[in-house]
Amino acid sequence: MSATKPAPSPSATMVRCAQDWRRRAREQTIISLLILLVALVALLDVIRPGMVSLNWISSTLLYAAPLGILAAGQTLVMLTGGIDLSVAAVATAAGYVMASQATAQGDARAVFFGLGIAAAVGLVNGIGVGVLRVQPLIMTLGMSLVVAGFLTVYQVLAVASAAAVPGFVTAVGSGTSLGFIPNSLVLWVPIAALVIWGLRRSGYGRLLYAVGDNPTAARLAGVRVWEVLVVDYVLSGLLAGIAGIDLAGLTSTATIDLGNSFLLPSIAAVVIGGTSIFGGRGGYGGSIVGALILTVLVSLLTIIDAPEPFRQVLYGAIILGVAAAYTRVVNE
Amino acid sequence: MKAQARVSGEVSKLVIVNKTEDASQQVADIRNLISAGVNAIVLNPADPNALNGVIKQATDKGIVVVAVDQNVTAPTAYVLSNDQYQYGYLGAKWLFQKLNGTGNVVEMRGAAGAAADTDRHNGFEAALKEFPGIKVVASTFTGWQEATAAQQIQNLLSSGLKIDGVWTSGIDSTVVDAYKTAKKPFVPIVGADNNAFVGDLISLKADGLVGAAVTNPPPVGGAGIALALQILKGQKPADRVIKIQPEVWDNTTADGMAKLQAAYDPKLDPFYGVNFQVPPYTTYTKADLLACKGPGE
Repeated sequence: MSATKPAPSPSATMVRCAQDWRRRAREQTIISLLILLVALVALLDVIRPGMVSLNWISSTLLYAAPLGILAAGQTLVMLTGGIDLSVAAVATAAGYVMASQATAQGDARAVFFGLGIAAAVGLVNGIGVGVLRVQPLIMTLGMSLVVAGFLTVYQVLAVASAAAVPGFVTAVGSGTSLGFIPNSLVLWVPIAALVIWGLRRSGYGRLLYAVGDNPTAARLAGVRVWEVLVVDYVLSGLLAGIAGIDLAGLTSTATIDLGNSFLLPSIAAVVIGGTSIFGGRGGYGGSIVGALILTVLVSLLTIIDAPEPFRQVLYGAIILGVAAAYTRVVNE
Repeated sequence: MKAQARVSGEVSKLVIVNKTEDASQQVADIRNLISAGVNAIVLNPADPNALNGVIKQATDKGIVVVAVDQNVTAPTAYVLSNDQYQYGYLGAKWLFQKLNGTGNVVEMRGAAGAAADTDRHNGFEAALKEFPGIKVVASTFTGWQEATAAQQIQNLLSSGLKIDGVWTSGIDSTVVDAYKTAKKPFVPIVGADNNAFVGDLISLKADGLVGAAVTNPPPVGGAGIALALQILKGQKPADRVIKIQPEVWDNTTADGMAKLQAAYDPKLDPFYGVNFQVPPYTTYTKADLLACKGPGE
């Protein structure tokens, strides 16, 4: 600001403050999301005093982990302007195949099988979207139906296979260390670090933003867009597989609808977290906070004494409200 | 279904059409089956009313129609289903009696809007009226999803609410796991005859787990085949609607324990319903059922 300008009037100061706040909110969107998260936790503790304890935080993180890992894959795909509607089916397949093969094949190979199937479905998605140019929505929706169908057939074959979730998977998915540190953080923290670092610092991360921002420009600049997309969907499939195995560990059972309830939350977490569904903008940090907000929201809705339709409306309204408020802040 | 058709020795051909949860598609399928000249149709209806027209067409041609699992209102069709009202009533009554008529109870329902959930809830409410000392401190919808139920019960356990008993609509072993993880003493739990829960009721009895599995036999399709064959042979049941009564397998009585132990099979899927016979209809063995082979296969 130059010294020759007259002193700003009080109302101008307020306007500038507001603009300043908006600018800061735009830059520090994660901060505003964290404030919302803390507010929700505080509300929970007001409704049921004493509920928020170390134990509660620990188990909330355990429940948020599979959603957070699913949202990692979803973030990577959404950054390119795509969407992966097969994440829930892939997570289910990975968890179920792992559990049903554990007795016959041994624990480690069973986990490997589960992840292999997840990556394979991701590869098919990637080829469909990247090479054959199928709309991501249709491609991944179709694949989720294909996977669910195969799983139903497989269940009939595997029903007498003594399905059991391996002990170490249960320990990772639902155990805690030193009393309160959730074990699934050994999966989630490295994944989060890798995704956040990869998106900010690696060449592949920049390619994802470039493809999402303007695929034609990216192609003209010499980016092999199809390769970027194939790798992207394989990563999303693999992350969904890891989430599914974590989820099987969390519930210590694997059924053929293991991950089904996570599809829409995985998308909501990313959108709340500020990643544009049109691609090119966003990041995984916001999705992590989005996943935590959704998990706390479910706790809140379980605790309040309200009829189910009211809970559903509230859940939807809060997601809508956050997403809308966020989009306004970001676009102004 | 395939197993019962095979062991009956009376079915020459079993046509299986899989179209779930879509009434209009079911109408088209039934039309095709009528044209194919079948003797009997056993179906799991997607809607109680939408199929009435096509069911009438079938029965007009002398085809026996048996709806299993869900109700149809067509007056010429037979209906064979689990009595979900009694599932809710008997399980809740057992729980309230275990609590000597006083205490705080959590009701973990199924999916909001599902007919079976509504019927079970009505049964639960009917039992609740008989025990004025019982208070429902929380009622949740699990959507019959383990992960959802796990988070709900875990939140309720850390909420400081006093919980003396838990009634579930079938996501049962998940609740047992939550108590184990939280290292809280077990309270009486009502669940379904899922393999994992039946196993828990046996193996954790020594650790103080008191509970009951209410049966909800899944292979009603097989029973439907048996009923259709009976009707084709001229043995018509007295009532158009036949409700299979659930049993309560209680791990505190010798009789209940014996039934639980007979049903438990560690080799099966954790959520496989272990009560696989529907007397007096089904005549297959468990091996027949698991082989899943139809006539001629």
